[in-house]
Amino acid sequence: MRIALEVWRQRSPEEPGRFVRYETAEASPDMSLLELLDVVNEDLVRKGEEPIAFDSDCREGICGTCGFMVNGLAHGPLKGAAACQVYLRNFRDGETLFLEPFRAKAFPLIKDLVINRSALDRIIAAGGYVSVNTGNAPEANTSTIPKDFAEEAMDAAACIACGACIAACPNASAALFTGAKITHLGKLPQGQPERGRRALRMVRAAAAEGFGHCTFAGECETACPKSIPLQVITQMNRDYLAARLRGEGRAPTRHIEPGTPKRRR
Amino acid sequence: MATSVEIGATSVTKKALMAVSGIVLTVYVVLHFAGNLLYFAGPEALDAYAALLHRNAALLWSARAVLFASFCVHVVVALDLYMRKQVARPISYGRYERAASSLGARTMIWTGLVLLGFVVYHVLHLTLGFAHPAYVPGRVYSNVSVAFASVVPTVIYVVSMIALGLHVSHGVLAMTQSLGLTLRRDRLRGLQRLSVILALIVALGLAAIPITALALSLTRGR
Repeated sequence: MRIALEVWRQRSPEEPGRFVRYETAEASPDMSLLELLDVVNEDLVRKGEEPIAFDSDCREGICGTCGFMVNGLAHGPLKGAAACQVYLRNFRDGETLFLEPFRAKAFPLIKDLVINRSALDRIIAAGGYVSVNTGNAPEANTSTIPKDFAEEAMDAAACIACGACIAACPNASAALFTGAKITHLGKLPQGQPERGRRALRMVRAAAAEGFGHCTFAGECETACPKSIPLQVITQMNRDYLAARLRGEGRAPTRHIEPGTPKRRR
Repeated sequence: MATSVEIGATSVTKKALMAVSGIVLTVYVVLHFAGNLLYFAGPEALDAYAALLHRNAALLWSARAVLFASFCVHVVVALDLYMRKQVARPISYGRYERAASSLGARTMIWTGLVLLGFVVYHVLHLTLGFAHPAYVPGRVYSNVSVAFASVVPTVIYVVSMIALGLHVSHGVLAMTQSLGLTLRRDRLRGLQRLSVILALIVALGLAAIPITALALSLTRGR
């Protein structure tokens, strides 16, 4: 099998990048796309050239480390699959693949196909937590959860924070990611106390990172390797707007100094 | 960035503004469409309907004020969001494919700009009577017939109604999610179909009027 690669090569954020063509006759249909990159890299190292930098870890679609654009689609042509789960048999013989890093202002490029996704960590830090009581673990099943809610929370919790939703979005919006985190915790009883504040803080954090707005085009849902449904965005909007309308976090503090006269003199 | 600070708030709030103003505009388009269908009932019916609308000046002008305000909000916030899009992805992709977006979703800003131009033209054309060969206030049927006796306005109107159909087909769907209303997947599918059907009805119905008027004038002229 012959596959040609056009890979985005960029030595550092400051230097300009460009597509460089690599061809290999060693490709097999059973090879994964990342294995093809390994083969190309071994060849580059043999020739004394700089290998292609790309992120990967588990290579079975559960860690969210890998990810780049393949022919303009985040994680390549398959639904519900990360870039590491794409095999060369998913492409035509003789095809040219354009590999390009995920692009967004909030995802600064580090090198070649590697980007910095810590903006997603900062969104989680802004509100992706629940308060728990210290002390003994609570009795199991103390709080009952309707089956549908548990399923919806689990669907949202499948997010592996790979950044594909942002990469695929025409507006570089983090709505699916942020919505997944908000839905995941907001659907469960443990997540209720912070529900409004969480939506406010995570949406604001996403905006502060420089992610764009959602136009509900649906690209994120199709790109997501965990197929997280668009409804998480609707949930995010609902929780955010409800918290805004309630005036959440704006309750004025009321302090009366003890000893203040009861009647104004 | 400066413009977004003026309007303030996050994109979720801005999209809610888009949705609320979009609802007002959609309701207006549907009512306007329903009223305009009286064109097919003949000159008396259409002119009587126009007179009815003008009977209560206070009501007419408050409706116009709400419409104008919604229109301004819709346009200004849309342009603000569109400009933020470039800020969010300063370096564009060498290759980028849209796998899921509907035609309406892809062309939202462009159909919106077409409609912006159309609304200005339409008001000058058939409400104020500038850019019209023989405008008589209150004689709506004859104004329409004369206006669409030539090909150019007819083409402008039909193209604009295609843009309206595309815009509504995505807008009606998107406004419900911007307001957090459709949480169930099966209902979302239904809504998707509903918005496409509504868009088709409104666009075809409204485009039929200039086409009919042109056809009538052509057959009469022969």
